[in-house]
Amino acid sequence: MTATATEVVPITTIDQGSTDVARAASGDRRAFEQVYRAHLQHVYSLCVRMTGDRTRAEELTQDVFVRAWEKLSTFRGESAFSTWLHRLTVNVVLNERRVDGRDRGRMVSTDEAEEHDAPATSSAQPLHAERMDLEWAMAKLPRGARQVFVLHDVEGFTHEEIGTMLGVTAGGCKAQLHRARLLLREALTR
Amino acid sequence: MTYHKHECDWMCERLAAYLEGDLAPEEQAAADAHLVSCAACRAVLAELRTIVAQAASLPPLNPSRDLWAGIESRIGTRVRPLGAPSARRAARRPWPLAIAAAALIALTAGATYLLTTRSGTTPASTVATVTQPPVQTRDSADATARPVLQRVAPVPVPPSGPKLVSTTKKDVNAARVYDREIALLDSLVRSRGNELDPKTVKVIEKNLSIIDSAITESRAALAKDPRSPLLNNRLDNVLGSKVELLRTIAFLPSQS
Repeated sequence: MTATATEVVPITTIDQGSTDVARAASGDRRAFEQVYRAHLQHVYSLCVRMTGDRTRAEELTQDVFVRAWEKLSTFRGESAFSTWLHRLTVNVVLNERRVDGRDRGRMVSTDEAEEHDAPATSSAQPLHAERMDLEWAMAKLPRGARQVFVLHDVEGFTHEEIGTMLGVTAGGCKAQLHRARLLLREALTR
Repeated sequence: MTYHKHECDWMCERLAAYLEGDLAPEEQAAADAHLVSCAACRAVLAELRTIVAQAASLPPLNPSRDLWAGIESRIGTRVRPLGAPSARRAARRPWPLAIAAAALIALTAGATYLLTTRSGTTPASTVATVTQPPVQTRDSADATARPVLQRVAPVPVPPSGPKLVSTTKKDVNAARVYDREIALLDSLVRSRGNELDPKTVKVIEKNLSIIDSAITESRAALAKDPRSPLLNNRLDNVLGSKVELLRTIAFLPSQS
């Protein structure tokens, strides 16, 4: 996974974050709240973009942090905590689909019109117009294409990593990505 | 310069690989040559690259509300700092606080008794209402907003009041009532601020941490086996221990 702009944080923040993570792992809820505050935006943003639904994303964000609390003792510090949490978020979102019974394993399907999720509700944030349009267009993508686009172009995962997460080949992932980009272009230039 | 449609179709089929840098050298050269002279394909490629660039620099989003309260309630009761607000305020008003503490403790003891005996068939006293903090906007400066304790004294209310802790046999939920009791006592203990000896505070915090761990473990075990009487009793006992400890703290003498 490559770093994105939103992951860049000051070193002092990282140090404090490491301390909070360590304290949270030993059962300190106050430290865990600091961990939550430090990573909320990233987790929530990923949930919104993966689901295209802000309300559902809020629920999933809570699920992610509850899961993180439960699994924190298994975090060994072999990767950055943000990376660990990021993976956990992706897993929670993808598992939610599987558990929900709505994921029909149609990553390679060419007709997913019926799988369009509800577009994200309007954001209260004054986003730049083009970016807001992109958020809107992303929310309207078929689920499989949206997930691949978000994981690759927004979050920086490789095709191989995404293929492992989604259970598809790297080639299938590339095909979905291109399809997503073309659909976005069509939506944004209409 | 006009291009045949089939050349653009050829390019179109290779756009994905072109963007990914996956084309073989000879195809890459052919694609470059086509792009040099085909404005339409160049435009498509530029638009796709713009989308890729924008996607990589999307700003973070904020939820419409603070999600911490919901998370906190699911990971167990919180431990709040004991050395918080105002020793001065507490020093200025010792008696009202003591009276409130006595009333609250009597109240929580009654509620816990009803709860643990599981014999209540009539609505018990209301113990408190807890109001969630206001919706957090992206500009909200108070990032640590928590539920606000509104009332600590019992008030007469209809048995079915929506925000009230009722201990009727029908809807009693031991863990939830304990959580409310603990939250109330926790609030009281916190309001004592710096009255307590720091060494005592340290020991208390350690004990609370141990009890909280036990609560978390019990809840996790109960989640796997919700009908186990043993686990239910265990959770009740641990929660009861926390209530007792908090009550003890509430009555601890101030440091001289």
